[in-house]
Amino acid sequence: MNILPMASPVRSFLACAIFASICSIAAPDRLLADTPPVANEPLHQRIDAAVEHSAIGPMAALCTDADFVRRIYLDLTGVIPSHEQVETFLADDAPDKRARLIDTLIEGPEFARHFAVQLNVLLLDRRTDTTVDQKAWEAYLIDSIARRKPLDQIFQELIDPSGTDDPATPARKFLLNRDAEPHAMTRDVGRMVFGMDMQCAQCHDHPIIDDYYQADYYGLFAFLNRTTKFTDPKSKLIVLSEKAEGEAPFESVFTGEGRETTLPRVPWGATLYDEPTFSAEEAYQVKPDKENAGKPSFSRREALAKRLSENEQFRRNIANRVWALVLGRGLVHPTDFHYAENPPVNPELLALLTDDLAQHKFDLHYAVRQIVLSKTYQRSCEPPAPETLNLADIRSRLDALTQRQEPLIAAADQLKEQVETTKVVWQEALAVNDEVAEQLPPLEEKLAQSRTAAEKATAEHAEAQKAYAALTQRAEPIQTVLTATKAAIEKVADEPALKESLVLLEKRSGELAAEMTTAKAELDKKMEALTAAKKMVETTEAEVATVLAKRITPERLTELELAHLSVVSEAGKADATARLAQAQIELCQSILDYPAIALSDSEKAEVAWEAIVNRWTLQGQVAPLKPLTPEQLAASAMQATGFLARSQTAAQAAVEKTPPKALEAEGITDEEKALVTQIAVQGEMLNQLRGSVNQFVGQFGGLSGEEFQATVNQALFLGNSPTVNNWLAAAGDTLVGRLNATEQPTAIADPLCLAVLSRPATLDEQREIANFLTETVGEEAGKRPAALAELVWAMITSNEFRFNH
Amino acid sequence: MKRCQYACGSTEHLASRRNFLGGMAAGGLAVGGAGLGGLLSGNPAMADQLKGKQKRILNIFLHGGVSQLESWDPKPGTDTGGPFRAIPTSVPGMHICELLPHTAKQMHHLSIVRSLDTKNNDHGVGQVEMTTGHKRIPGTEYPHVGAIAAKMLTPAEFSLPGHILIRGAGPGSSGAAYLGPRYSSVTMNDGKPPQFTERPGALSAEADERRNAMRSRFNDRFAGRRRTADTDAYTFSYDQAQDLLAQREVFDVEKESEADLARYGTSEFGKHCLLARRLLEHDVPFIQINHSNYDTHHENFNFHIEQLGEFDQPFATLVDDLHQRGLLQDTLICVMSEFGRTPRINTRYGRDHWGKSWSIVMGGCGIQQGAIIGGTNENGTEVVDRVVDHGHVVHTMLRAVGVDSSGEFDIAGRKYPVADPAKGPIGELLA
Repeated sequence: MNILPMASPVRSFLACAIFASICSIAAPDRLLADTPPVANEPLHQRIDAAVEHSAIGPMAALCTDADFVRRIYLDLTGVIPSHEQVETFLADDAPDKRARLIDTLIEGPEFARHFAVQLNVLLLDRRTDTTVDQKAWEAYLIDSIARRKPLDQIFQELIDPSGTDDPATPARKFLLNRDAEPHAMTRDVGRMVFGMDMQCAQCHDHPIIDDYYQADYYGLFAFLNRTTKFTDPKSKLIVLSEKAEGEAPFESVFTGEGRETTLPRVPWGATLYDEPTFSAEEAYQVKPDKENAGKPSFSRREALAKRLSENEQFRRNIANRVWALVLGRGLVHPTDFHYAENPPVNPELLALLTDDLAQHKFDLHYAVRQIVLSKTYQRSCEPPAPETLNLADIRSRLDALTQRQEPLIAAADQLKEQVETTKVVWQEALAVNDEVAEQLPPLEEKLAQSRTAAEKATAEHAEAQKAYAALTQRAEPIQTVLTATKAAIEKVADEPALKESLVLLEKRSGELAAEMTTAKAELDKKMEALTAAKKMVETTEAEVATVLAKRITPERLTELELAHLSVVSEAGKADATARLAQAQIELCQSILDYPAIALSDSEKAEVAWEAIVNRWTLQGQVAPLKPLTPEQLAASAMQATGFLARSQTAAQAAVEKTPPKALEAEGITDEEKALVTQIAVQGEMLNQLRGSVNQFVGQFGGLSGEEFQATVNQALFLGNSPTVNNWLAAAGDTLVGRLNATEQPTAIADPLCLAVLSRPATLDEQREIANFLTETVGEEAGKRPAALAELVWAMITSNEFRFNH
Repeated sequence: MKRCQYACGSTEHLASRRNFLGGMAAGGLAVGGAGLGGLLSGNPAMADQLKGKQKRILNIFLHGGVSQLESWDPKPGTDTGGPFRAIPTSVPGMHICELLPHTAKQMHHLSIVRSLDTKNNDHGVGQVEMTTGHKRIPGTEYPHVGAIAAKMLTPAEFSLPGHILIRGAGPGSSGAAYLGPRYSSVTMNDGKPPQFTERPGALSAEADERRNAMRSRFNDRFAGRRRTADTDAYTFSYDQAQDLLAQREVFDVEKESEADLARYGTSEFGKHCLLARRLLEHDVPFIQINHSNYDTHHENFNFHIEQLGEFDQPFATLVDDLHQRGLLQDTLICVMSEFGRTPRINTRYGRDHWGKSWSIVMGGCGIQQGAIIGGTNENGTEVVDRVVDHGHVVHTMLRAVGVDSSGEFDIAGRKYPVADPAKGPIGELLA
């Protein structure tokens, strides 16, 4: 048994090589697409054009209808189709049946559930917490998707839940799941919102990734480090609280260059240069205390949320994530690591998706629909055979690529230089402000001092003036009496009293005159000092104004930073294009080297061929084999065995028994009623499946981006667990029960294959399955259900079932 | 049960396929994530680390927090010492509490670390930190040291689980976090065989073989359409499962001799120790036994008479057996808790949670014999020499069995340190 009937690529290639050497015809194996996609075509056509543009060698054919129906149900509803759904689709002759099925499923209720499940895994990494009820959180995700909430809005709500109408919105679970711990939030907002895992840049610039700096990390951290978890003492509701102060100082553990502080800055985005400032009394809308969560007048977290939609890296991350949700792998992979050394496998395609999704308001339904409409999505997982290689075509492609490579590298290098230039301009502007910030304090100090000095001089001058005036006042009457006394003596010359008086008066007058001279001199001196002090104030004021005039405005700084970032973005694209060309050249080379290896060493040839097929898969020339997620695997096994219908009925019944409260709202439309009910049923469906799904999650893991792992425990679980074993029971509505009702052994294979593998049986299988039954059951009809269970189990545990193909 | 016949028959082969692809990636034919992967130190190759025999770890976790004063660091005659004496051991000058008379005779195989300061008094946190070697951070999960050991020590052709938890108490499983489900614990609840190692009632071995043969045929047919490293790995996992079922008796302690069953005693912990010996003899890379109940806020002394009374003889017997059978030189033994207990005796004759100055024991593979590392002051309230914590302990455990604890894992292009990069092993404890 177990003889592998696999077509040997080696042998087929030999035939091909011989064929090629005889004919050496350079028939193009695809449209030689050196023409870029056209802007006004539907996105799915542009996706295909972008893939074909970078393809090397043949493309896999479009998948069969049977492959398609299984794939599209798994990718849009999270579960394989029922056998009825398969049969209906296969029987349909209409040429547009794939597009129609896509529309039906995208508009259908399960779409929201399936994508809510995927978002839940992505956002929470399968960690549980008790801050927000898991069911409420799932309901929030299902509701958001069912109502076609734009993805940027969902992310805004996750970062700033208070931006919604509902203070208790389950959206707050995203940050509370991290205990609202600033470093945990920074890491995961970096990863999930911007596709940049900067955790290693927390303590120093990233040691491996040149593009991640400690300042990037702390720029994002500065948006989040004022936030904490808060439990309302009365309602016990756990919410987010934010302070109005707290900067983000950091120090490299490597360079020891001392502490730096960074303003809030989105990674690879603009700095918050124009943060409004408030006096201490006006800093809060709600001041944080024991009773209340804080709400500052200016929320940095809200500022971050508001910046997402316009941020290039956010857009690129969203496009990449949506692609990964459908195709199983990001164009940038791992999805948490966007940086120059890890370029997208197809930069043109990622740029296309990034721009188009932003233009379509980050609409998930639109994006998924366009992706699954593409030929790229609908390709077969079967790689083209070696004999379909057109080596002459590859060779000419290699020549063209080699010629293009140098100009591409030159263009990328030129842009890299421009990056430096624009960076210098921006940094110089920052340096000017740093200089201003340095010069200003001593000048301001000087100004304050000169103002104090001027005030003092004014006071002293006034004092001197007052003293002089007092003397003048005192001298006046004496002068009057002196004059009168002199006149009296002229009339009465010998009056001794007058003479005595005159002597006294003249002496006193003389004394006063001397005092006045001194006072006048003092007054003049104070006047001089006052003038000098006033002059000093004027001079210093002018100096301050001169320095201030040098300061560059926040608007200008932002402008310079954005100009720099736009060149960085262009340079990144050019660099990725050059790197792609290099990868393409190497793929051409691998393909051209293959014939020699195939002739000399079949083992090496097998490995070489697998490497080529893997690269084709990455490039979208061949469809990938995607392992089913634990959720898909559990639900699909239940679908195949006939048990999913039971959960669906139970979910419907549960919602009918306890209808959602929202249905009681006044003036609710019928349409809204239907939607609310549908959302509730899908939420309840997750509940119904939770027990089984958790068992599968326990065995199969299933973190987003996790590498495939096949473990002995999984095999034991699928082989021996009561859960799976119960699904093989023979009851009226189960698969084994249904098959058991079919008497003809030859009539078993088709319904079996349709239910489990979503396709009719091949002739071989029909024979094999009939033989199995005949041999195993013999004359003892009682053995039949057990034998059928063996068959169903063998199919459910097969590779064809385990992978989405 | 025959294996499928194409070349996938071993994980070694899978590894070489992947390595080859990795090599292609480094050469520029980027099979994805190559930029990062190529630059990281990556997983230290198993073969390089495992020169010589299979290395194993046995971790005994005393749940609730064993009192260091009633075990490894007695302080008789002081205000904190309690009623018990210190007794001499097989190591001259080394004394331990009189509650461990059998263990005392085995101390020449073991060493004591008397200077743990783990700065934590919470059960949950202590359990995570002691077994992962990392400070617990909200929203972050680190692999249990058992998962790391399983990943680094499990040989390619090995169908038994690499990480077994023999559970009498404590959590039902030990997680592997980013290392993935392959390395999370397989649990033997109350020493019973792991889940799903028994065929469902109605399914005979022949029927199981028959349905697996059918599965192989379906797989072979699909392989004609597409075959990848992933499909090979999945197929292989069923072969491993069949191998494991065939060896199911490994998990059945009752298969040990009457004499051995008697030597290890009738207590649950005794059976678990004998079971651990059985598993170690079958080269299982990591085993943890959980023993309870040491959280003695009341009646600390009576409880320790009881608990350590249960612990002492089976543990000593196990150490001696491993030594006699030549297994100890490749088996690291560690006895730990989430923390120790307060030197101060409370009003209910209890001791409370205490992470500030407590002890653990290590011995066997890669560890000095009969050493005492660090020490506490006269009445045990403070560490006075060589402060260490969970980070140093996990580094030491891994280094002792030949794992480069300063290396990194490269998981799908993300890199993770094997152990806390801010810490290192307790060098003087290593042999």
